[in-house]
Amino acid sequence: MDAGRGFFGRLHELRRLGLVPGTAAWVAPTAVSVLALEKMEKSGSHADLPKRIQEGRSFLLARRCRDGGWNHGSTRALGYDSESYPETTGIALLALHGTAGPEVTKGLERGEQHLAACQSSEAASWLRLGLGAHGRPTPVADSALTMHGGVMEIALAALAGAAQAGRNPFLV
Amino acid sequence: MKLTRRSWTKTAGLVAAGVVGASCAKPTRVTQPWAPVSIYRAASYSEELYDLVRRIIADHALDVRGKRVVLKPNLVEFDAHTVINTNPKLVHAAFEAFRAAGAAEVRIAEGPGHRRVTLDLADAGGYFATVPKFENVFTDLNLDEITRVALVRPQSRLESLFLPNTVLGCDLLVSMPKLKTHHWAGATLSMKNLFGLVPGGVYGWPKNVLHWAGIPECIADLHSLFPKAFAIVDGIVGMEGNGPIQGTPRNAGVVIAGASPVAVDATCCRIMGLDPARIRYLQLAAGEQNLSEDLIPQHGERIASVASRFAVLPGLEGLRLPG
Repeated sequence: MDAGRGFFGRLHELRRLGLVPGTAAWVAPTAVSVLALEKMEKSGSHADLPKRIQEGRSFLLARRCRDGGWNHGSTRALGYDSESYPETTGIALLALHGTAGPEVTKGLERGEQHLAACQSSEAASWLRLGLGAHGRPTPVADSALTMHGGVMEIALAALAGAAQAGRNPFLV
Repeated sequence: MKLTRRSWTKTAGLVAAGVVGASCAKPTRVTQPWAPVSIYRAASYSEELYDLVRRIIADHALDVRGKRVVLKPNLVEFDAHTVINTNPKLVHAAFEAFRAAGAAEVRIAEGPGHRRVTLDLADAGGYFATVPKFENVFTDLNLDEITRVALVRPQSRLESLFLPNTVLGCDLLVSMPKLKTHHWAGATLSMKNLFGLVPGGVYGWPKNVLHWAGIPECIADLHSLFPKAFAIVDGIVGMEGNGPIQGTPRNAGVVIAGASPVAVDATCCRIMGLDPARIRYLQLAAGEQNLSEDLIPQHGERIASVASRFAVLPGLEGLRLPG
């Protein structure tokens, strides 16, 4: 599978799972890469897949903020802790589905806090997907959300709704 | 969304579009005076701001009759109660003042760097409640149509940037930042606010390319594309300490404005107790031109009468003004 070999060779070259050559790896690209590689793994397409998926998950666990969730990338700046964002916390939790341990538990707790205070429909959708992937309930009062998003946000909300009904499309 | 990825490589084209001005030529005068800066007291986000912005427009003889004006606030987080975002009251005051001054069109535009759904962010930040029919006058710069613009003498590693056509096509860009310290750049003011012009739809969230290519250098590069931007800085309640997001509110009670973003930012630094000579992006943008206080004419208050020593992170103490 030449195309696959090229893809994985590039990933090795970049170290971790950054998507653009020459840039650092960040949380969201790593998380979506893990999810994509899992789909490939189900088709048994490459022997390196389990290792790469585990590397991606290790990266995510290493980039956890002190508050338990995930920022876009850095956990500290000039000696000060970065705070987590709801969107990145949700997508990281989604990529860490099936992973257990105290770090994940703290991430789930932070995700639940984010969801309870969430005003963004996009963030609420990622959090529902992430928390739901770990079997956590995902209550949210839709009236608390600002809803000015476009097609992508509506589509993401539909995917989150499907996950709540037991059909998480990212985990199929 | 229709994307126009037309590469502009000729300076003449940029001049015709009004995005390249004097700062693209390397300054050779060391002691040339800067454009004046206005410093006005404003104790709160009250109705008085509407008169204050009209006064600023008069001070600087801004003729916007028949022109397209874009107001660029700093929208960062979902929060109407902290001081992360430019206060919507000041932005609405500017919106009304430029319309009253005869502008053919006034738009509010922003492309936040961390959160994707900009209208949600604006709603949570109080913009829908403050600006009537906000959605009709707002452009999400992260999703706007874009054009590739070459950097003529880049300070950063970038050779060009995709930029939103709403901004490239306007006659007057008004940068409306918050008066804040910044944990990497030292200060985030009218020039750093231009990071919000860089479209997330191209560069992603956060706009990592600008950090990768060097924050001070990218600030200077963006300024080189919009040297004639007007600046109105919300210093009524600023942010000190671990800005631009996790800092502490600081009542400074001022609005600072002017036609030279470099001079405005240098003045803001002095008001916060920071030395412009130690802020790298200002040095890059000023080039050989002296940023001495006596070369920046002022309207309204003197710096000394409104200065308030903003707290900075321990690693940034070296940025303080001497004494």
